[in-house]
Amino acid sequence: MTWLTWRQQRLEALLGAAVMAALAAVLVITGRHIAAAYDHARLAACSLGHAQPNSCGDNVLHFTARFSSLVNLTTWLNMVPLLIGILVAAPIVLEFEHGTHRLAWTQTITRRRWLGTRLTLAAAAAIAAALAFTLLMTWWRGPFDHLAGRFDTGAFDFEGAVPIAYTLFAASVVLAVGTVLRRTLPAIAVGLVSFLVLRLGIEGWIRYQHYLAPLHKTWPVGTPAPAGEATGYITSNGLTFTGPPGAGRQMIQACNVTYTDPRSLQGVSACLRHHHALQYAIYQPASRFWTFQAIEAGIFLALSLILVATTIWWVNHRLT
Amino acid sequence: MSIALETTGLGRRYGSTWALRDCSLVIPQGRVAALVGPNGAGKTTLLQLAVGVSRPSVGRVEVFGWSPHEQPLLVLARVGFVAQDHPLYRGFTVAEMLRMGRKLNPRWDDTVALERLDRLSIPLGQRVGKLSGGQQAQVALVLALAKRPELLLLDEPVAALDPLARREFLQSLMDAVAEGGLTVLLSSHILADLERVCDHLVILSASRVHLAGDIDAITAHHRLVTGPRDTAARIAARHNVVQARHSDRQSTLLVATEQAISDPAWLVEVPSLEEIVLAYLGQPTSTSTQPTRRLEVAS
Repeated sequence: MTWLTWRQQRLEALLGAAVMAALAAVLVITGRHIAAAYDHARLAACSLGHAQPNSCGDNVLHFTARFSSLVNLTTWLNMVPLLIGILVAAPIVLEFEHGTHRLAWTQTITRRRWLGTRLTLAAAAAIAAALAFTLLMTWWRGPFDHLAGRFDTGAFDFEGAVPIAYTLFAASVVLAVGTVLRRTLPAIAVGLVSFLVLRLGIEGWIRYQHYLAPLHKTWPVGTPAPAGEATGYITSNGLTFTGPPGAGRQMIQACNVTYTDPRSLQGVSACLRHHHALQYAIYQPASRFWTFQAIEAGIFLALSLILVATTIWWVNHRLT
Repeated sequence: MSIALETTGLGRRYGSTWALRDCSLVIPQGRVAALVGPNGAGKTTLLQLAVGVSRPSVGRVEVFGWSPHEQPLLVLARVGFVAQDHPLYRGFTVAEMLRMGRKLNPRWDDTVALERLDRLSIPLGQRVGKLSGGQQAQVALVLALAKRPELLLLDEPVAALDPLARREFLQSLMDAVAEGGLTVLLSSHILADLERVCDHLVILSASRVHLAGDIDAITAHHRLVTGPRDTAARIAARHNVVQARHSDRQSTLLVATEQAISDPAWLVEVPSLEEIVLAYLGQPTSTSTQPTRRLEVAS
């Protein structure tokens, strides 16, 4: 059965391996380049939320600006889990579409064992590919994560446990829909749409707003921000004031807060401090990274389990 | 007489539609049985129930005394199945198809498979998708036979084949039967080619069994009678009329009867098997169950 499964998924497996290898090559080449630039500019000491040498500001700006378009391009890699999911699920659906499952089920093998082997090997392949992708991306993003944390979407989506959960979810949707419809292309279409809707919906409206209530913190201007604020996910931040209405505007005029001349910033800061201005931030602290990973991965894994259970039930009771 | 396949009150429902209903029949061991009926009559459902691809909604199906869905491995090891359109892995070579069979079947016999393929001049290295339709059907049959089955189930095996390929396929099947120890149940919506091959007949129409028995017994128990239309009621009163066709003055009746028909006004003939089948398939469902019951045990 293992041989048969391999023989049937061989084409998809080789295609997936080729795509992953090409992706890995690009990431390794650009990643080494990024790491070299990072070392050259001595950015290791420039992590946000820590005391930084004076040289950091310009060097960090220069470094991030230089690679920003490359980092923006990695947004497209959000589709990699979907691609892996399709590649592992499609061969099983194709079998139902072509009716060849009837050939397999009438050999001396139970349907349970046939399905068990197919699902186990598909899941193993999906997890292995997603894990390789996660490790590669985590290494590639290392310099950026060190500077700015990894709670923002550009890092969160590629690291930790969620890429594996996204992959299993994509595979489960294609599998479940394909098993019920016995059609591969519609199943892939439904997989694509539900993957995008769920991923974008959770990322835009649920993850940072509702997994845990964001922290609201204020602190005097010129004192260090709370731990994990700068490297966390900041919903909004700025200045806030204590005192009668209109005090803020008066103070801003008094301190000439225009930020036009960087050299005057220290003077402005001293002036604000003198007027007891506070900084505030609404944010998810960096320390919640793994909690959020667990919640998000949990959601996608739970959905995957429901879909796989539906598939198993359908195969055992409805499919002939 | 030992029994290869037996169903009792067997039914399968998809949603609110019955694909097969109240099906009770016995296929004795060693028979080559034709399962005949129009498309959608429930032939595929019956065969799928027999091999365990489908589960009964009601009733029982037993293959050599075992239930296909309760003891699947016992049944599957003894049953060869060629599904409709003989599905094969089109990207596999013929040799790879054999490898699949070898890996998934403990009773697999490579010699049987290789000998047959050699006789058919089907190259082992060829991709299945590149073979002709007739060759693909032959490969599917070889895969089923190499399991060394005691019961072979074939679902519309020749429907999609051209006349030559059809004849060759049935020849292969007859060769396998001649080697002995094999019971065959094959479905078809046409009878023409099967008459030479089969010695047992099951007529299925509108999800129900209309007639089942050995072909010799069936032929012996049916008569085609032709006579004056105004005395047709006399025949109908004494015999079981399966189908009646009337012209202006003359009637032609196909009757199922155990007695001789001795009315001098009527011409009595032995009907062909095809005439019997068409008569049963042509009759409305409501009046159909009665002759079935009487002839089920006619073997």
